[in-house]
Amino acid sequence: MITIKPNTNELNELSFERMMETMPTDSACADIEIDLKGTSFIVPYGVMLLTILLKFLSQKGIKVRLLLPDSSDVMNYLERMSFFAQVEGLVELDKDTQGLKSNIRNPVDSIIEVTKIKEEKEVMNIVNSLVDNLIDKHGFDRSRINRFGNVMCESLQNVPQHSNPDGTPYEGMACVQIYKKFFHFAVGDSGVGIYPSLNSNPRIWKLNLSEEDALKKVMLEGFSRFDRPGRGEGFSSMRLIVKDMNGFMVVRSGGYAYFLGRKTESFYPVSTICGTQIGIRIPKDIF
Amino acid sequence: MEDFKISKFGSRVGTRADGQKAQPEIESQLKNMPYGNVLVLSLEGMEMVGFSFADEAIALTFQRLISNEYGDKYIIIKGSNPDVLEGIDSALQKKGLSALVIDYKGWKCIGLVKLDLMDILKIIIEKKEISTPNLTESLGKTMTAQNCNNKVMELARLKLIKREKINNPSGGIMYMNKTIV
Repeated sequence: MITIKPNTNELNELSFERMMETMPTDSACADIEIDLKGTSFIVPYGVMLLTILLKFLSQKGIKVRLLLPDSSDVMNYLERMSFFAQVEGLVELDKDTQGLKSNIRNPVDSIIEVTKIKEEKEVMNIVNSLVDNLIDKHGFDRSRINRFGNVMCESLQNVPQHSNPDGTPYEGMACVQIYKKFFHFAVGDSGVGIYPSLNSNPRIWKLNLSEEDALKKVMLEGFSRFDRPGRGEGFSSMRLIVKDMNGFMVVRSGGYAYFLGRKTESFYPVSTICGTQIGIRIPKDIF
Repeated sequence: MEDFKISKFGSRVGTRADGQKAQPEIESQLKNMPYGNVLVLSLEGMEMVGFSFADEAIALTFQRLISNEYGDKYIIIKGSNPDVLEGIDSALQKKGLSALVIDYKGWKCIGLVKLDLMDILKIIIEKKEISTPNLTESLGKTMTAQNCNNKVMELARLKLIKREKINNPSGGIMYMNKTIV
């Protein structure tokens, strides 16, 4: 049994990567224990990454035991985010979570729990519901959040459009949280990821791109597995809107990730899991 | 002019699939419209037009328009919200297309805006209609007649103006350049 755990008491985009670095790459047959006992704070992107990691390990036939956080706040948060429903049957939990349901009877407006994305026709319903919620319940500026709706729409529709070009089963999910100073949006899937999706186009396959180059081409040049001009602009248009809103964005796919900060943009290697995951943080005063 | 309200598909549109459903409807109205007419794509009531929707429903229609699939017909966009126009602007740019947008303040060009054409387009829109010789004259010595004619032809190719052949009173033929807004 191999035990991995975040290096801080937060599970966020950085500590998830540090945790993954401690997972041996040759752990194909070993059981894994993920220790979140000391975790006192989780961002939506962290919940989504953890969910997809558990799906990924389950697909590989690896048994996983999850040591749940000692913090009751974090446990209630995970329940509100529908985390336990998402990972049911994929993981052995070290404690019972049934009692959590009674703790979260009252809805919390600042969280929009993990919502599954299965088909493209659901995308606009999800976007409308998220945007209306942010306008009606949080007083977000209508025009600004509608503009961010483009980012939601492009990222959500990428899930059914690009997750399974070869018919690989996938699950897409999105979640939102509003903090005092930031608005978080996370969307991801357990599909094939950007590199295999691009390489399903023989013209691109012939270019013999590395995984890092493929991510760069998608983020910066609007590459797509479809040849038609106008395809593949989703990521680059999202990147421009997030940049314009002084936001942060992480796009993680396969063994590489892209980070957009206020003054920096970078590509870096990460531990491979399935699919593509996007985490976006926008300063709340923008809205 | 005939109106086509994008809001018939919802006040927020964004997906490629929805764009693919909308495109034939826009195209159908365009095809049924008499020659010489202008179709106004109205963004009234719209809160969001996403890039992918715009690419499928609007940019594709403009692409077919300038390749003359619909004949002597034109499209303009009516709307003033820059956030709503952003996705359309971007989709047109990626295909190397331009469109005229009108609102209560006047007009502007979105998409791939060729700056050297804008001065000429501005004069044509202000004058409503002007012959190429008169247009060259109104530009003073800034442009040769040939250069002016090339730019007018490019505006006509992009379907940003109408160009009609008329008899020149002093003999021969000449072109009358007309605004579509």
